[in-house]
Amino acid sequence: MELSRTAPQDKGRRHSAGVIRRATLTWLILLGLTTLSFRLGATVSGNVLMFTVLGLTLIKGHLVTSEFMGLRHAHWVWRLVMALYLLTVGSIIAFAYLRA
Amino acid sequence: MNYQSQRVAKPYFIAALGLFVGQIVFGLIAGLQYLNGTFLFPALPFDVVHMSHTNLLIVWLLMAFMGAAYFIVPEEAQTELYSPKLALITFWVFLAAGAVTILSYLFVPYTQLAAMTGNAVLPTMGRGYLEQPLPIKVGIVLVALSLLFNVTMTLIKGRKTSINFILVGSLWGLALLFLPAFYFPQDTVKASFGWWWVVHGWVEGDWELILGALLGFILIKMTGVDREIIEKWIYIIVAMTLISGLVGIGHHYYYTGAPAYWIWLGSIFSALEPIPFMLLIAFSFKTLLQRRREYPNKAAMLWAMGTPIMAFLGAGLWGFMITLAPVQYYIHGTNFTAAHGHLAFFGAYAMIALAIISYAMPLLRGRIANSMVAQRWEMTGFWVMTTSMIGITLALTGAGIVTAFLQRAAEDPMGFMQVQDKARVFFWIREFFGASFFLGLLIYLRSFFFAGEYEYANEMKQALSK
Amino acid sequence: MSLHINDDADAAQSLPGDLAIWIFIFAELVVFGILFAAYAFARSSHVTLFNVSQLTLNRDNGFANTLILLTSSYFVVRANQAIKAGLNKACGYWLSGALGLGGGFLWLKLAEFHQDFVHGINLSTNLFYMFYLSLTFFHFMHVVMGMVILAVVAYKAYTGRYSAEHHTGVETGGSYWHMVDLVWIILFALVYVIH
Repeated sequence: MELSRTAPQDKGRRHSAGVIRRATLTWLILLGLTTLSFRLGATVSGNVLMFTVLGLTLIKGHLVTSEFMGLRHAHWVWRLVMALYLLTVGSIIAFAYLRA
Repeated sequence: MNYQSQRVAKPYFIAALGLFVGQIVFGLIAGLQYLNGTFLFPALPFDVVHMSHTNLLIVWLLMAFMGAAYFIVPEEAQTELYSPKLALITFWVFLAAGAVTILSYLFVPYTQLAAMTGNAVLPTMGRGYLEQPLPIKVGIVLVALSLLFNVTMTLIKGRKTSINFILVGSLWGLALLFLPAFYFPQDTVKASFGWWWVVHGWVEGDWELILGALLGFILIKMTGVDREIIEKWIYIIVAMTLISGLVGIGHHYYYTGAPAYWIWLGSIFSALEPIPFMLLIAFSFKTLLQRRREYPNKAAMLWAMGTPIMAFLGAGLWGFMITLAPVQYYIHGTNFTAAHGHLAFFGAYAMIALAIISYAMPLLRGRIANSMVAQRWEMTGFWVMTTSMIGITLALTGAGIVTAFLQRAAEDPMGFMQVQDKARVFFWIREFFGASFFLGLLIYLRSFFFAGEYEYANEMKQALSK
Repeated sequence: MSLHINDDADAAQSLPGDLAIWIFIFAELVVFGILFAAYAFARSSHVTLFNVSQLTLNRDNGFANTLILLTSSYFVVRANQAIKAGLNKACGYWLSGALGLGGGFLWLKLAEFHQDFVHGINLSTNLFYMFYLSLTFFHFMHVVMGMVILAVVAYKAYTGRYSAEHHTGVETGGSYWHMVDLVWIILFALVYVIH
């Protein structure tokens, strides 16, 4: 019992180190994308800005939901529902801005 | 039934049903007066009949909620009620106050009643649902305090469950939200604020929490699904109700003199108010599918499952159709509002009251469930009443649409009485369904007069012989 | 214990946390989605007003707050991973860090509200401010609620109520917090950046 317990725990640690690295990377990407959107907001304007920032926001949303919220491991139906949500909100906003 | 003191719920439930009959009788009279304006005039003018119809509704629902509280709180707390005697005294006080109110409406002209009861000192009378004379309003507060004292003390000395916390908490809310009824300033904008804080606060806020708690309790008992799971659902339903309902009050502020931003806030947040009802449907059917036993009281189960659906239709869907500010601009105060009011009050509150009565009454009469014969009568009553109410709702919706088009949105608007004539056919349909609702109620009441209880052996024998 | 989890698991299939909280999360997302749509459509008939008013916002604060919430979300992920390794204390520390960042968010947001208040800006000022104030205040209340949940979870982690096998509470609270973050990401882009 004692012997067999150490092995999987070691494996678990290696596994979780990978998971942590992945989460850290995601976090850094999110910070980067946010900074990019913010900079763009100060330099670009109009529909170009709207489409770029909206696109970046959807990517950020996808990263948060699938990486942070863990939907990556969930049933595909849930991933689909979330993706549809982000796309719907994005399209409604884009539509309203184009109409203006 | 596990505790002797739960018995005090019985008179509350019986009185509630009695007052329910009274409400329907006044409803039928009011419906006839739509068709013949001088029917029973001057003995019973329309305003008195209308007022009695709506006040009886509130009183019987409160009766049923109080009965439910006295039944559920000891059961959940696993201890006897703090004071059964106080609960019984409170019952008689409340019943007497209700009877005095209705009798004074019927036999004393309203202005004279106001003068007699000190309305000049502290004006409170006249707003819809809150027509009661001042002493009666004070009496309602005292009755509520007595109930709160009793159930809170019971809660404190017994087991603490989420159902009890939500139920007792929402009863406190019910009492506190009644206090703006005493606020009736000269300023009509502020006066309507006070009115809506009570009415909206009750039916689109606090009572939904009571509904959630009662439904949660019934489903825990009947399905045997883990309390932990059911409580989580109830919590998210409570949270969603508050998120949408608190700001949703803005839909009563449109065009009343309140700041213009309420048009946006009221429209958006009241459009969200159907969400808690959708959650209620998801919750109850998920729970039903996960049930771990077949509860013998099928009738109670039917009421419990019917409630979220009809509540969603009446409060959620019919409410949504009229809630957005641009729509409300045209149909404010038409019969469309009455259609929503009827289906919402019946679907959400009358049905949950009948569900808890259906669950508790057999237990209070010393049986787990009624005999199958009695249950069949009860379930027939369910279907007749429910379909009739849908009929009433559709008829009133038709009448409301007629008004909106001919009187409000038309290029060349017609006068009020002309439009009433055009909508006459809908008032006939409504009265017809009103009568069939009354029939359904009688069928339902008939189910209480069968002796004997549900017998597993008998049911099994019958099932096998088929 | 495991029975409770299994009951929901069939429909949820490895959703992190309770099914009930996920239903709630989606309901909340719908709520915010409707608010965003209303903002976008209201803007489409008042473009100039929105553009001019947007310029008065403290964009740096909005940017900082986005970074803060993203980082706190990351801390919550780390808390989750800590508890999966059975490290109760570490889980508590990460959650406390997330709570601290949440507090920072509230502080910055209150500073913005204070500025508006000083300048006499309120819901009646114009349509943009009506949306800006109600959207951000509504989100503010969600941050408060998320922090209450996180505080309860952090307390339970410190007192050792979770383990590597049983930590649904951490996942549930975390999922809600990520939702609050997700909503802010969209809100930031919509209200502070795009013009």
